[in-house]
Amino acid sequence: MALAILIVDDSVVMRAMIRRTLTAGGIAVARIGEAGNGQDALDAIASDRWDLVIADLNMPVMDGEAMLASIRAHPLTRRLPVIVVSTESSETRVEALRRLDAAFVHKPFTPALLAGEILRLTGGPDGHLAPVSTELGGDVDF
Amino acid sequence: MATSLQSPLSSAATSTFEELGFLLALPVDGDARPLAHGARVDFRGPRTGCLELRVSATLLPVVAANMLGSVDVPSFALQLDALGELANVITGNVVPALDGPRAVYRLDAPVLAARGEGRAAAAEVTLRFDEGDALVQLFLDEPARAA
Repeated sequence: MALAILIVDDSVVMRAMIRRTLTAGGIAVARIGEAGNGQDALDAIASDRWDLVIADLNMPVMDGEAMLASIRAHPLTRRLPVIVVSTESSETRVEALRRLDAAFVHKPFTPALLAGEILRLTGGPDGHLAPVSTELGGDVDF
Repeated sequence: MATSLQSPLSSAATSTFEELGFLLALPVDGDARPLAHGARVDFRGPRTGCLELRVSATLLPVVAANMLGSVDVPSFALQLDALGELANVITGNVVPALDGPRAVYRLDAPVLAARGEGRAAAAEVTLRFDEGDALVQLFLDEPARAA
């Protein structure tokens, strides 16, 4: 299944690096969206369907933790797969992210590492996600 | 303090340039090359301080292009974005050395640093590349955790 993936990072360059990793890493991509902070990501999630969110933590306006908490608090998005890609090294914060059911990839990352985590989360190149994406699209109010 | 932070700073800086910028550091010999552009990341936690990354004018477009996977020279805005991201990643990887892996630090967004801090760094490392130098300095506001 080709994935609709939302990349959330305040760095244009990092979003481009992740986009490049997706296209070069054997990930079947239907479309890629981008957001520069957590609030813009929630707006994108509310208005479109996504199979996977790849998000930074430290961002202006709304950080990745607050965004993730909002996603998990909403019944229509609570199972939306999220991978946090961050420089965060605190075991305390990483454990908190895992309690929110987020996968974690540490920066700096290799393309293979991120691609591997995406494939693990989505069931491999031929795998498919739980039908969470079909629940989304236009009616989510954070 | 400087001795204990030197190794983690060097490791974080080297791996960040290698894995994000696809640049391998060379042995540093000879005179330092001029540094032109800088970015700073402030951090708050059990200690406060900042990390400053300054690079040669000839290095910045190369590392930015590498990060973007571009054969063209990126716009200057993108070059500065790349510089900030490098500083951000180095900072995130070095702060655990301050108080251990369970300590929680908050990193501010990178800002441009036109001039150096003008004070003694707790640790610093110079990385040399064919395209120029990078100087990474760690500054601490508080010498020790409050009792």
